[in-house]
Amino acid sequence: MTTLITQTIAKVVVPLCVFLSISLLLTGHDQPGGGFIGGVMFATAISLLYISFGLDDSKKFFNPDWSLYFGFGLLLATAAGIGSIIAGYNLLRTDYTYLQLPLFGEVELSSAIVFDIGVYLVVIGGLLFIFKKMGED
Amino acid sequence: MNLPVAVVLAIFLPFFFAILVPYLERIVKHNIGWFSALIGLISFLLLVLISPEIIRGEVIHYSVSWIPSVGVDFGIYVDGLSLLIAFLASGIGFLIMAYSTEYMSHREDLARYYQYILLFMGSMIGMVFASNTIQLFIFWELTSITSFLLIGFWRNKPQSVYGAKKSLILTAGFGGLALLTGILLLRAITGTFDIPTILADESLKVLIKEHDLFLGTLFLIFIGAAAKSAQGPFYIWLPNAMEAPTPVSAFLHSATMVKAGLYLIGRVHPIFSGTEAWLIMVAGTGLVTMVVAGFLALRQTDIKGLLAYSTISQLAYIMAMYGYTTYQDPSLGVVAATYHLLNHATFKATLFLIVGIVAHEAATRDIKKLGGLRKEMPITFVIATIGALSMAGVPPLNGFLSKEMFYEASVDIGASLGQPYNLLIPMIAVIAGVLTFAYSIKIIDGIFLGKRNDEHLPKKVHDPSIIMLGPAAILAFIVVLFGIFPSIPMSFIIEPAVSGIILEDISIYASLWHGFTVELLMTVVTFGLGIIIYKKYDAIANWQDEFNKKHPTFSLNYYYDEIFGNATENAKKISLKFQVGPIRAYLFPIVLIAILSVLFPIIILSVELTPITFNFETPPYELIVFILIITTAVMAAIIPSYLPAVIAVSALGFLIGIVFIFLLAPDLAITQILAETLTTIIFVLVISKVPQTFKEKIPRNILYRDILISLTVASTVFLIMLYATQGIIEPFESVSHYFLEKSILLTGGHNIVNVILVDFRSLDTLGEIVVIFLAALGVYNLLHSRGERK
Amino acid sequence: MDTFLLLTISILFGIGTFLILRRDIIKMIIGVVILCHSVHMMIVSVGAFDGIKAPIIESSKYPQPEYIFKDSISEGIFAPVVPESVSVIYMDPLVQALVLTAIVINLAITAFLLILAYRIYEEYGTMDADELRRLRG
Repeated sequence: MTTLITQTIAKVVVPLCVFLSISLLLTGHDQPGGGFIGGVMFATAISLLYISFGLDDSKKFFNPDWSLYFGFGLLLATAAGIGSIIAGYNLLRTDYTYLQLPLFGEVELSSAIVFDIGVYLVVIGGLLFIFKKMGED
Repeated sequence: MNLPVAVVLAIFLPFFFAILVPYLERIVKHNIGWFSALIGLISFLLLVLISPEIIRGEVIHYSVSWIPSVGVDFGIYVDGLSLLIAFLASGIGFLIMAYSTEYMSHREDLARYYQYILLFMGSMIGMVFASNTIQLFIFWELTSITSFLLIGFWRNKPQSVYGAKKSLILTAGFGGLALLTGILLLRAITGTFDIPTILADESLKVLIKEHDLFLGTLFLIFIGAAAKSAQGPFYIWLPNAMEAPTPVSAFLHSATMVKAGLYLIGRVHPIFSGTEAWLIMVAGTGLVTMVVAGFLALRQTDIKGLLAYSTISQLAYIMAMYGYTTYQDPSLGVVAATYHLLNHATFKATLFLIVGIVAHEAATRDIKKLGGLRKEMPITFVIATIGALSMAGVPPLNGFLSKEMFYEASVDIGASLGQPYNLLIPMIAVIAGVLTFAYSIKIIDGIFLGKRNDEHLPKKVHDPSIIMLGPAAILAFIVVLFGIFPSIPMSFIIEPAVSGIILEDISIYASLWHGFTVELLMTVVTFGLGIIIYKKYDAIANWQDEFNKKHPTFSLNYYYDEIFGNATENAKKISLKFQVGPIRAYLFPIVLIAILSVLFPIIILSVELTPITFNFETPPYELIVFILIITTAVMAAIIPSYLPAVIAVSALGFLIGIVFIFLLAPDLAITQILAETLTTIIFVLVISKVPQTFKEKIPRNILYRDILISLTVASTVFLIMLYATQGIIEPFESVSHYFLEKSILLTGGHNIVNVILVDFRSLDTLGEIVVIFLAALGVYNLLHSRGERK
Repeated sequence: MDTFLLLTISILFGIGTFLILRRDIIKMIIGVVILCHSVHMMIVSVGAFDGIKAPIIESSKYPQPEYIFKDSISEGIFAPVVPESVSVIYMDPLVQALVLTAIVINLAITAFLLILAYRIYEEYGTMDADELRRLRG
């Protein structure tokens, strides 16, 4: 699979996919998307990178430790839950507000996004960790 | 000092100190025993502090709310009965710990030893003062557990481990669980866990006795008490418990823990007594146990074994006397039982301590190897004689008085029951007394009298130091004191304790000499017969040995070993019958049950319920997708080689993404398609590493069977869904509307699927990401476990 | 509900069961995957009202008064409907949320199973479940 064609395509597609995944994550509250979908999208994009460049070659320029991601994600999701207790609400209770931003107009900001980012990181970390471990083998 | 505070301190001081013991032990080394003994003394003094109040006839009752939702409080209830047992626990505990400082070698793990003893002491005191049945149960089990730990103190000895397990299974397992069930039944009848409430309310007692569950409740609570006090068939754990260090046997297995069952019987006496069931169960068990255990004691060659059987027999006296009496008409039985409970604790603890001394000095406990030690150990001999004669019921010692009372109570109950019991019960009592007399004499004769057994004994044997003799001497002094001046224990200890059982004040008069009565005659007969039996002692013991050899199955221990010794093996055999391995074997019963429990009712109900409406108005493009799905699935099933099958499954996954679009689920469609991409990649990665060496050839009969199973499953699913979607169940309001309605208002989100995931049901989502987390960890472990193997 | 969809789901279920009964471990895993697909479709389709819109509320940031969100069992209304027409508008979001997480978890579990199969092959050199049982003794 490590042909020039796939590599050239991957160079264009992977950044696009990563951006798309982040946009899926952020707009998830109002549009189709969210942490799970964004996470799987990200994992797919990175796996495309791994396949087209080969795991060993791609490690030279891109070698994150995915176990950190799902560890941190789980921590973040739990912290989001504890945070609402500290704020005086029930576990994992969320709140939201509307912000007026100069370019975007009115934007909804929900505290649930913290939890969603946690989910996003766990999905990315978990799937890519499995993927990479298997590829290394 | 505030009295409830003193009681709570007496309970929790030992617990608290038990935690500190290992740390203290590092500083004070083997002197830790004295510190522990000090705690016992403090507990004892705290109880002395509250005793004037109790002797005046008051009770201390104090409780705080613990689990209010089920009506469980943490409370203390102190009356004469509980104070008596608590005095025994703390007082004898103090003496035992002082004795242990000399008895236990300094090389032993002393911190653990004193820790367990203190824990036991605290639980015992907590148990008797519990005002709540749940609280009582918790402390009750704690005493069983600490007893288990102490019996198994020498963990390397297989007999210790065996004895510890046996006691745990029988007391905490059988007895404890039966007691818990009994407590719950009692709660079901009365609606309360509170002991004083039940004791104080006459109408509740009547209600209990007339209730349908009365017999079951009484039986279960009695089983709990009998298992703890080694009565009836449960006696078998106590002889094996003698593997514990001797001070522990003296403390737990003669003076206190085994009294817990009797305490419970005394505690529930006002609730259950006065019924036929009570008489048969409690008195009957007591009468049978006292004779059987007394008879078995004759065979023992280990002195501790002999004392164990004698303990069982003596406890049976007390049990029988509690059984004789009714709460409305307590007569002599309750007094006699309570008095004997106290006396037994004193003389039996003395004897155990003496055995400890003898074993310590002469290095053996075998009665056949001992003998003629009276000259070398004169003080020990005197103390032992006092203890043994008190047990035999010789005047003027305290055992004589309670034995006389026992005879009198037996005659009374026999007379009130009429023929043939007026002869039978006194006869059983005398037989038990004769046996007691015989083995009591054997203790003195076997150890101290007769010829010195030079072969087995060390050259020089001498009296031990004052530290070991002191506790035994104190107890022996009490034995004599209580015998000559019975009014001392009567007015200060027994009267409050008895009024705790019969719930009214009582005045008892007792004196050593009370004229020529039937009881005196019975005592004289007992001594006469006892001497005759003692002459035949060895013959009886030999006969028992012969009998055991001939009939090994005629023993409770045999059945215990059969059941519990082979429990692991049998469990393995049974589980192998069910856990056979291949999925096929499990699937058959699953399918069968599915058909019976789901398909069958649906078919029956469908006849009368709804006309099924089929909806065939499917757009053609959807139909094409459905046909493609089925085609790819069939291909995945029938293609033998891996790669094409995986490609078919992957195509199937993408098609299902399209189905989600038909079902108006955009989030699902995106996720499904992305996830399918990853699944395919992982599949291909694995398959590229696993060459396909194995191609399954399905035999024809198995193929038919599997197709049949699959068809059944498929049609069950079809029918369930058909009826589920057509309202075989009454319609009810859907929860989803709450989400649709409140989503924007509460969270500001418009995509309700995501709102449910991160706002409404986020705790579930947290659980789900943990699953992903665990799958990743599992993969890591799988791939790294290899490194360790090779 | 669509009878053909129902039929498809049941047939998938049957095929999945058939595959689980095989001796070949990879085939078993394929069977598990097919069963999961079938169950996902089942849950989503059973939970679907006969709606005409995905569960994404459009435009307004406040609840829309023109829709009725209450069930009225006597009138046979079990979904958010447009007034005066008794036509259902939204699909059930709850089942979709359930299945969304199920898909991602299924992905992780499938990966786990595959690696388990790979490790079994490494240790015992076979993919035959019966042979494996014999080797393990």
